[in-house]
Amino acid sequence: MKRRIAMVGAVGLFALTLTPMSAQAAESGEATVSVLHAVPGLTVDVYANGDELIPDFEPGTLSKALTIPAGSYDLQVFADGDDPASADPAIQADGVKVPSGANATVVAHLGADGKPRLPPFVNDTSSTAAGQARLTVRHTAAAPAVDVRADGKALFSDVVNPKEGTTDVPAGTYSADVVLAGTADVAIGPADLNLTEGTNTIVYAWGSAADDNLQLAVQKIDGLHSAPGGIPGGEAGLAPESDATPAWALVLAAASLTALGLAGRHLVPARIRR
Amino acid sequence: MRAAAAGTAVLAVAGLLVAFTVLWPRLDAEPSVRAVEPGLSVALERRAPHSTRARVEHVDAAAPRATRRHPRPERLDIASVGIDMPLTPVGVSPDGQMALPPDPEVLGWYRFGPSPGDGTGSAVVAGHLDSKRHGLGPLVGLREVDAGDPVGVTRSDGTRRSFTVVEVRRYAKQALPDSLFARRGPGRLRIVTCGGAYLPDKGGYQENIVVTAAPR
Repeated sequence: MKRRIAMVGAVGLFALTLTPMSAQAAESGEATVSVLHAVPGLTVDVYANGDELIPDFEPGTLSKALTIPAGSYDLQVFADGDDPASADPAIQADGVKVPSGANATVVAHLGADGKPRLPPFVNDTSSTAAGQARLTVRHTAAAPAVDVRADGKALFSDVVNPKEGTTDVPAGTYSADVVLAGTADVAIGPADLNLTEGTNTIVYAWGSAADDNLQLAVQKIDGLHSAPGGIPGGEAGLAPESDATPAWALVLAAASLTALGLAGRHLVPARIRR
Repeated sequence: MRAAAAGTAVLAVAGLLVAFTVLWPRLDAEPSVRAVEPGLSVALERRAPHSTRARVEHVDAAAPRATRRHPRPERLDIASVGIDMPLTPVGVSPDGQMALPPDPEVLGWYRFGPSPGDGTGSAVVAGHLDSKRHGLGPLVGLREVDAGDPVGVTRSDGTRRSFTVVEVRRYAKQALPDSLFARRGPGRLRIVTCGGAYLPDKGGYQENIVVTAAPR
């Protein structure tokens, strides 16, 4: 019985140790949510569970990250100024799940068919290795399949609306463009993308090919960096090990103490020694 | 008999004096791998809570803000030990360690982290103690640095940042804390090189010497 309790205790401790950093949010049941407006031509108000979340939201803008309780949300987007009590929403998404501890971006965008949608995308906020940056691309445009290229090389191939791709690359500035899948026909760009170390740069292709207003939107999530594995510092062994404790000093100290003890026996009068 | 004992005692006391003169300064310089300054532990990246109904600011997603650019650190000097070395930006080598300039006469500044003189976080500069090609470099002087020594960093715009050494510490190489590279917390300059025994079979020098300096 005792042993079982000990084991349960050990397992409990182990579980605590394994709790990841994001548990801070998970324990308090919160999630981090941003909203991107990627439907051309319409300024809107965004409502969550009947409450106005973002007023006067213009196309091509991104809300600051909001910390909201995890749970299920009914999201509605109304044309700016419409009364939610009477007007019909321009876009609606019921039962959008926002899991505890998640970092997500809700994107109002056009589907491949040109109809507006309102899905959440979960953002990869896991740590990046030292020196690396993360690039995520999301196809949120009324347009056919595309390839995304960086410095002329295809990073993601055949991405269709509403799919995404993500990869870690060395931090730096890349010239990025979007081409029709399998061709060299540039649909968007090229644009200089500064991929900052320890940051997830999320690039949205949005707009409509038919209306000739395809463009890019960029969201950055920082603080994902980690430290290098170590610091080298020398390779030849030329420096004397001057900072080590010299053995002779330790031996001298021990010998002196012993000698002092022996001498003391002869120096201190016998009657005091008893 | 008593005379011989007295002579032995005098010699023993003298021996103790010599031994402790040598040992005393080392008592607080023993390698330690315990936590460094309490303020240095990496802060959890948390955002201030918003209420669901908060009016939020918007950012133009089409034109992300330009990343801040500080003047680059170009030279570092520690006059007390005769160090005056050029600084060059460095990143990460393929093995995941901080990349260092091959020449021990040149210091590397970890360009992904804070810059010396930034108000927050740890600016890390490091260099090779020696190299097979170039021999022993000036960083051997780091072993003689004491708390209170002044450190200066000259930057690409000609400005100078002054620091004072607040701590000299040695870490076993495997135990270098991640907080050394903290991007938050108090602004600190960390100057790192190798120390300890050189064991070719165990990857060379066994320790890192870390000199921490605070802005003056």
